[in-house]
This record gives sequence, C-alpha cells and structure tokens, in this order.
Amino acid sequence: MTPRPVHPAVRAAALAAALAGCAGAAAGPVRHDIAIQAFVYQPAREPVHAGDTLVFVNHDAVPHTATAADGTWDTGEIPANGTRTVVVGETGIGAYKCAFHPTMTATLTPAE
Amino acid sequence: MHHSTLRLALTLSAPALLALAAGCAKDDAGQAGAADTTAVAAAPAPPPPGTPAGVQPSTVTDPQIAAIVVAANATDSAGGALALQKGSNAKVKEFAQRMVTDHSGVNQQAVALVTRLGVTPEENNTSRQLAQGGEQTQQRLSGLSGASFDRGYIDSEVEYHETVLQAIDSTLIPSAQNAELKALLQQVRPAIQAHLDMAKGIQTELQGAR
Repeated sequence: MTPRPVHPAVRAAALAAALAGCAGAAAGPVRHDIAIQAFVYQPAREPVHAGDTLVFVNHDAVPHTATAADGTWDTGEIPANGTRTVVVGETGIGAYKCAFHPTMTATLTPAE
Repeated sequence: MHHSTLRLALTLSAPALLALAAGCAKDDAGQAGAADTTAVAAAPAPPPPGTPAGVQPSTVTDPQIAAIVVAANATDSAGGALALQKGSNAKVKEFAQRMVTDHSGVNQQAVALVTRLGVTPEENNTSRQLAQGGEQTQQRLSGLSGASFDRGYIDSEVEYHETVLQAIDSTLIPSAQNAELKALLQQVRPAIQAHLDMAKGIQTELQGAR
C-alpha cells in the first residue's frame, strides 16, 4: 500500500502538536516518592514544584505523618507499612515534620 | 539461624540489663558463677580465634533478647495506659498515647519476627527486672495525681528510655546473633531515641511551669 502524501501544513501542525505535548509533559506535575524508615524521611530534602505529588511510604512498625510546617498539607496518619499521597501547593514548599514524632523533620525545596 | 543453634549460641547468664546500663556491677553471678561477673562488665566482642563455635563472652541469647524486647515494650505500654488515665497535662497524655501506640506496634513486629524464626522468648533476670521495675513504677505513680503525676511519669519515661537505649547499644545489638533480630533492634533504636527526645522536651516544659 502506497502512503498517501501529507500536506506540508498538516505535517507542520502535527509536529507542533507533538512538541507541545512534550513540553506539557515536562512541565506537568511530578511524582516524588519519599520513604519513611527508622524515623527518617528519605530523602530529607526534595526539590519540588507546586502541584507535584508526594507519595509517602511508611516502612516503620509505628504510625507517622508528614505534616507541612505551615499547615497547608498533611498526610494524616500513615499506618505501619502504609502509603499516603498529597499534592503540595505554592506555600507548602518548605519544612515538614511528623506530628506524632516532632523530632522527625525534612524539607521540600523549590525546584529550579 | 536454627532455633537449636540460637539456644546454644551463647552460654553466659543473662546480665541484669538495667544494672549493666546503669554501670552497676550487680548481675546474675550468684546463679551463674563468679567467672561471669568479669565477662558481663566488658563490652561484647568477637570471640577470639580458637573459641568453640557458638560460645561468646558477655552476651545474652537471642531467645533472651526476644523476652527482653517483649518485656520492655509491655512495660512502657502499661505506663502509657496509666498516664492516659491519671495524666492531667495535654502533652503528657498525648505522649502517653504515643507510647501505647508505638510500643504496641514494635511489639507486634517483634513477636511476628520471633514467631517466624521459631525463637521462643526465654525469661531471664533482665526481662524479669524490667517487668518488676515497671510494676514498682506503676505502684509509685498510682499514688500521685495532677502535676505531681505528670512530672513523675515523664521523669520515669526519660530514665526508662535512657536505660533501654544504652542497653540496646551496649548489649542487645552486639549480642544478637540472628541477622533479622539484629536488624529489628537497629530499627527500634530510632524509636527509643525519638521517645527519649520527646520525653525530655516535655520534662523541660513541666520544669519551666513550676
């Protein structure tokens, strides 16, 4: 079967759409996996953009939380071996801690 | 490690963990012989070349460690339950609830592990002392109320977690033979450290409120 010729305008439009799609994917929300193990958030510093998703997995035998210092986001209780997901907002980029064990702290930094 | 190997692994009597952690020389020497007294005082070390397999100085066995872990968690959970009833300060009660929750979780993890490994917790002087010490503390605290109870409970929690932390570092982790049991103890350590830091913080606040 012989391929049908593609009009240059259609080809240009397809290329533009493909580029826009790539650009959109790069700029979209990103998932960040943060492990809680031995009463430590890993990584302890994570660069994020507003709108990114944080996925916390608790590997400890006791419940924890991840709670923004400014109160804008909170996983609530993450049970032992449990997972909780939050979306971070503009103001939530900064320090966070475990509400149950305040000595557990970590930081979200602004991604470049 | 097979259960029978665990039982044969270490030959010394169980050191009195609390006494050991406190730097006291009193131990089980009366039951196990004078030779043990010297060994208990020394930090656990790898056996010298030529030591018969399964014989190491200055240690507790894995079954004994299991019993100590269970007793330690049960003791602090019971203390937390009492503080939930008698505590008056909100932070003290919040801390007490955390002790009940966390030590119950750690105990479940420990019991699941030793069950899977086929290790039967073996009562020993240390586990008995932990249980008895917990009961004595409970009795003493039961006679207190209000701010006196809050201070007494938090003071005992600071002392308890300091003692357990030192015991984990000086005796339990170095003595554990099974890799998974050793890993469990290493995972528990940060919890004890966090609890100690939390208790000290509340202790400072209560002292400032006097």
